[in-house]
Amino acid sequence: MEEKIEVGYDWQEEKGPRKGLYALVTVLISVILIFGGALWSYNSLVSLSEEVSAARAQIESNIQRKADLLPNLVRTVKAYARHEKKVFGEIAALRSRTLDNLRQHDLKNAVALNKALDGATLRLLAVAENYPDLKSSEQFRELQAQIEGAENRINITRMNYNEAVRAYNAALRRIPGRWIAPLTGLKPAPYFQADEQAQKAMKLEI
Amino acid sequence: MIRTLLIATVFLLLSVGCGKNDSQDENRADAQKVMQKTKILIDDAALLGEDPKFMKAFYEFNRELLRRYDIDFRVVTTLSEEGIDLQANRLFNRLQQKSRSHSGKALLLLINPLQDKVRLEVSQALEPIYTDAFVSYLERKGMIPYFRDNKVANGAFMMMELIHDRANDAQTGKEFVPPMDSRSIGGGAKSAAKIGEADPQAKKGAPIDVGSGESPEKVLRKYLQALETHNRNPDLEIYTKATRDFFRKHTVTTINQDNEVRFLSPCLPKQTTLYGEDGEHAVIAALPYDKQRTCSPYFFKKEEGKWRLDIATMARMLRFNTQMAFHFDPRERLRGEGIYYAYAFDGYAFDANGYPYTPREKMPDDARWGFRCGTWFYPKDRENVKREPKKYYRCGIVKVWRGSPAEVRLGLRPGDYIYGVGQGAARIDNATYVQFMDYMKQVPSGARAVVTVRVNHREEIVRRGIAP
Repeated sequence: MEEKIEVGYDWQEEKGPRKGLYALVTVLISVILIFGGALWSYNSLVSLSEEVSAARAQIESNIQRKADLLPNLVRTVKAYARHEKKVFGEIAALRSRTLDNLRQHDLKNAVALNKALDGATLRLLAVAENYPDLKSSEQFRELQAQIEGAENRINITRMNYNEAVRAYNAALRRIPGRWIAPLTGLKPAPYFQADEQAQKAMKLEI
Repeated sequence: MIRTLLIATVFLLLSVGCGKNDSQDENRADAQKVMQKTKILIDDAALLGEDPKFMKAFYEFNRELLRRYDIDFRVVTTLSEEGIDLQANRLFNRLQQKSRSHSGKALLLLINPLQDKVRLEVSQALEPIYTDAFVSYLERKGMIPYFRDNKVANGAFMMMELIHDRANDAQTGKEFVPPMDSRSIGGGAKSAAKIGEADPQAKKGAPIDVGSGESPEKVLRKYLQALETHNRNPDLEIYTKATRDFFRKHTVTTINQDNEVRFLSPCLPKQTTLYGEDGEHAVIAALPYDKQRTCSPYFFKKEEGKWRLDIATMARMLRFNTQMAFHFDPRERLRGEGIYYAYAFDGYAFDANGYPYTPREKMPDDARWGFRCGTWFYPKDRENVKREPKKYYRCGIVKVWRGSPAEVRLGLRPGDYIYGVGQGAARIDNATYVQFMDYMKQVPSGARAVVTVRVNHREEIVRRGIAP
């Protein structure tokens, strides 16, 4: 009896084109994943960079707020202690330079000037200690509270800024951030550190 | 099988029994434990004490602040050497990781007796309401006076009340900003805490005299003037002797005085003076009470022929809710001097929390007291009562008209069994129905009526009141 042999479809010839399709799909998926990953990484870096900018803006606005409060304080103290001209002059000069630096977005110098301004403000408040009527006046106390509040905010926002910079710089150094950064022009941000030389310079100039 | 079931049942009953005892113990220290567990109150410096009544009141007010304004208020005492500004900010942000507020409204009161500093840290969402200057003002004028008297817990409570008042004002003016994350960027203010450091100016003020013929209204206006000028002299002639003792011990802040001016001033045109039958007591009130809930009544007593303000009695009897509506402490209303002012509330009933309201049913016009007696007798007198009912029947109160003098002045209630009338040499024990009714008819107007009752034939209570 003859055996019927069925000749099947020669699938060997079809293997080539199907193999190519799988390879293509694999490559496509890999490209999408890599591209997606890169995009996600870039977006994260941008978000972190924006947080650094926002934190920086907070510092600027708090320094501005404190600078805005000082004329009221000076006016209030002047009403009781007109002759204390040296400290009034010092505050006016420092304030003016601080505002200039803020306008130019030179935050580093603005912060250094703020530190010097802080010293002058403390001297002004020490002057007020000699005038019990001034010290007990509600207006003076409110101003004092507002200025102390502004100074506290500057300190806190500086800490927050450094935290934001830490997170951003760490992301830039990690993989894949360190590959993305050179392609996109993202650079590490500087921390806020007390520049004692700069502060000394400020004092001497005044 | 049955044996197993029996053992299981016994075990279950024992567990439930133990659990019940534990929860009973827990209920007693409930408020404090809950607050410590949920970190509403962290008393590392052991400044706040453990008075359960105070803790309960603190917890309830704190919950009210959260419920009504979504403000998460916490109190921490510490002996840390870290700078208070940074510590407050760090602690605030850490505690707010599990914020109770849904809109980022949170406050942290940090008290450090080691550095003698106190700081109220304010979340971003609350900065427009609690500005630095305002917080400094609250601390200096509202809280630190208590700290100086070594009443740190009371100071913290006062701060919570002031925060509530401000939130109430702000909400009316719609000053709250939209919800945001609960974090602080340094808003708030700090002050020297001055714990235990007596303030030499705390009880100062110019003397205020009272003339013999001056009416209670005039005395009240002098009191208003004392409040407006922040006169904290406890020995003013406008006060009764008891009130002067009260003010010597009690801490008064300028914020307390300003708040009282704020609530008293608009009530002045609405007030009427009600004089007691004895001629020695008066009440200035804005009527009707249930429509003028934020106008507190003021009590006056005649001493040395002059009308004087009896704030000591008012402080003992009156309470104010979070909306500054007054109500009585039900346990205090008819105690001590309170009975002499009860006449001013004839025609008003009191709910379980002491809020006055006008009852629907008024007592008959021809009734003096407004109660009805049923009769009862001792079992041993069953036969006697048939022969001589007047000698053996006794009175049991079956009805008291709401707002009647029986209720308002004497505190009589349905279910009171009358056992005695009068006091001292004139006391009649085991008073009969007739003796009781005669007593109640004959006690002169303005005189003190004294009735001894038993509730459920067990607890003996003496009810005292001024006769109408």
